[in-house]
Amino acid sequence: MSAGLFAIFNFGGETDLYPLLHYGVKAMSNRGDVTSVYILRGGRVEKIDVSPESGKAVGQAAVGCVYVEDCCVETEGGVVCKFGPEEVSIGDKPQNTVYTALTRDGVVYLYRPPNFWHLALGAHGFDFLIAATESSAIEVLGGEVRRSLGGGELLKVWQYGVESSGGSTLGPLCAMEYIYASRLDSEIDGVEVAEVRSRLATALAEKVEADVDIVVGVPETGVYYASWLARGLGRWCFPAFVATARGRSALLDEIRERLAVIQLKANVVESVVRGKRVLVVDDSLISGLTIKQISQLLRGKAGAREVHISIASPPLRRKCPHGVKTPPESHMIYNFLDGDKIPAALEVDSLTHLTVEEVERAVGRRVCLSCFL
Amino acid sequence: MQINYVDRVLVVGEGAREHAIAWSLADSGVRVFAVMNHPNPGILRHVKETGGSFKIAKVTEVEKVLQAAEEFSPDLVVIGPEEPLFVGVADALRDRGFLTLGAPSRAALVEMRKDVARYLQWKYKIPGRLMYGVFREVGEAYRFAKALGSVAIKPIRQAGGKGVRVVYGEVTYLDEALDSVILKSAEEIKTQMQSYNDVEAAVLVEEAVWGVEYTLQTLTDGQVTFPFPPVQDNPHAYELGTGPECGGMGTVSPLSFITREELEETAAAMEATVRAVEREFGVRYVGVLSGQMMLTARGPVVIEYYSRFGDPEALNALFLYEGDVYALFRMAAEGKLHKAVGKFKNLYTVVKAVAPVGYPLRREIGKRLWIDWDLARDCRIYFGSVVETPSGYETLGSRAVEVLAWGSTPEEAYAKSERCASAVKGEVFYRRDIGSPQYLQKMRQKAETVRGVYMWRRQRGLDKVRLVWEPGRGVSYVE
Repeated sequence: MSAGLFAIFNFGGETDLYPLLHYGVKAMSNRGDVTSVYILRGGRVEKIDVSPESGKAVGQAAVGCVYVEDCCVETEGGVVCKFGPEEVSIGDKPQNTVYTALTRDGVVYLYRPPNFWHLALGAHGFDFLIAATESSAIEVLGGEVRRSLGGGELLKVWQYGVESSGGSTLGPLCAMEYIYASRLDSEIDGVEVAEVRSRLATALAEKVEADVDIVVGVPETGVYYASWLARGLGRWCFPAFVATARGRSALLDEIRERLAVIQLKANVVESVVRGKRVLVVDDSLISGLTIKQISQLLRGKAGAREVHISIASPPLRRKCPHGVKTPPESHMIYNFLDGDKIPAALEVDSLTHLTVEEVERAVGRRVCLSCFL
Repeated sequence: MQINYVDRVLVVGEGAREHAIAWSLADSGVRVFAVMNHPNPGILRHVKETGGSFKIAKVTEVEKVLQAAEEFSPDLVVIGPEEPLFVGVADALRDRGFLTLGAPSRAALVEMRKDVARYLQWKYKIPGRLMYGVFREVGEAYRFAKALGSVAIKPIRQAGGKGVRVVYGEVTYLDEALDSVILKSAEEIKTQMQSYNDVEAAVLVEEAVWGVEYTLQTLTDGQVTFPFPPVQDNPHAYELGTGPECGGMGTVSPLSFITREELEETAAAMEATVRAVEREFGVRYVGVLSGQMMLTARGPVVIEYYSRFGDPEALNALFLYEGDVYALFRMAAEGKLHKAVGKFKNLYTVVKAVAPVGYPLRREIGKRLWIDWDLARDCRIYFGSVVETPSGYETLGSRAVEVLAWGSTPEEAYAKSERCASAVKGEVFYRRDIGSPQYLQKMRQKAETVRGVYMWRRQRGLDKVRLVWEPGRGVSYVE
């Protein structure tokens, strides 16, 4: 999963941007819990904290980032918030790195590289230009999404214009952005993420051989896949877990920490699963520990008769060469066991996942699949 | 040597719109005369080529325009911009017996005074109304804005789009940020309006609507209205519809995403407005009345009126008209518009305005401009806020040049418009997005969405009566 970048520019001059920044960041909390925000005020670029419910942040423009680590770097002329493997100077057009930047002289730069990462552009009224990795963050701020930046497009936003250059070389997008990282209600290049996920689930439904009574999804991403899978299989789909805390377990590589998160994100609703043959749907498979935990909860605590697993992507095997934080390869179960041994290792009745070819076909555009190969 | 008498037409104004009017008149075979604030190089060309003449004078000074008319003794006077109409240039010309196409000053109030336009709409039940209020105090404007939720804040007087703000306020958790925009905007409008001495400083606050904008330009002789094909204008200065509101950065016409029924409804609203003007002010509306419309979840809504052609909308409309523009204008001016036939070319058009960097916030005067005529060979180039000097073209601060491209498909027209706009060189900018396939697709989607809502409302009679439920206070009905 890549970082959630954003930027805001007020053509109407300096006003209080605080609520826009607070909720803009909140709208991308699916991308991590480390937030950096910088605001331009009176020719100075300053770091501010937008985590409290209310506050004040008077300025004309701001940029920021939400991820599992800080991804903004202060430079001589201002600040760059970026995601990707390359070093970036403001105005650069790297191949694999996305960025939003803010300079002391009042210019916001927005850049989407040809490869892997997304950045959407929108507006609120006549005053605010808003850019964000998640197009839905623009809507949360009351704005209207205009379009995704083109691949290799650099936008320079300042008081006297919005200048676009480049933007005609769209390469592969990171498959994980569709499968897992993005909000369901975001749009990438004019296609809603939910649409792509419905196709992935439909492809998965065609592969599932197990005869089951009900389909349940692992919160949060798995729930939407489960609905489509149930539709494909002609079975009911129920909410079977209640989440206490939001958390993306794959982001954390400390195993202990991960176990604690699973408990918090999926407590089982017993009457839904007791005595049933259950198909559990999740978005991805890395160590398999989430699945093992859930399987044990369903069977041991809630009395499910059978637990079958389906995953809307291929299992992860490689670290991302393009900068996404993943657990080390030594934590990826498919690097240690053959596919036919995995169900026994995870204590499940069967396990079905998509292949890279099936993902490519379902997404319908060029995607980067390096981490699955 | 030609001895046949050729009709003479005086064009008032100096923008790209007036250049388009002069061009069409020249095509009709008349001699073009002009009175303008600055020598527009395009209008000058038509004046020269048709054997006309011109005068440089302030077109908002009634006496100056009258002098030009007396001197040139035209068979018809066509007034392009709104400001001469506001000060009564059309009235004075008619008083002296000049056949004139241009709204009387009292009719032009529908454009000049936003509050008057809204008042007329409600009093005469003209379709496409919005809830509104007029305020002298910033605090009162603010309170009303809060009560309405999403609002547009405007100066009550037409000011070329300047000062208009839209705030979508349903998102209550953003209140603090949007409040400061509302207050700042109301203050700015009050300050801005102190530069006009024909109206008191007040702010109009009205409900903001969301949807697809389009302009329906109509000629009227006071009885009949003659609509041109709808045009979509793009009032935001910068790429992708961002940035400050300005005079308009480009247009597309015709519009396949607005239905015939919606256009008929709009034309009916324009006709109702012409009748309302006559009943309220006792003047016959002879000239151009344009509805700057939005197709919304309530159907077609009048955002504002123009008492003239739009700029750049005039370029599309006059280019698409298949026939003799002079004859058409005369029919309107002489009260014979019922004879006009609405035939239009089967083509798609895109106009792109090219402005000096800084527009509309900072006027850049005297910047050099070049045109690669070869690159723009199959487009029409209209001159606006620009003059020709011995060393080339120089900007006067506003939109300098407007480029019209056409094609048998929208894609062809767009591709041509991009090439031709790039032929204008210098410290200038234009909007690349206007007319692109992606842009048209977005408009179509938006139109379909709001159409679904307003049809649903109409099926249930919710367009006639609005039911307002205020928890703790009860239910009330509006209209």
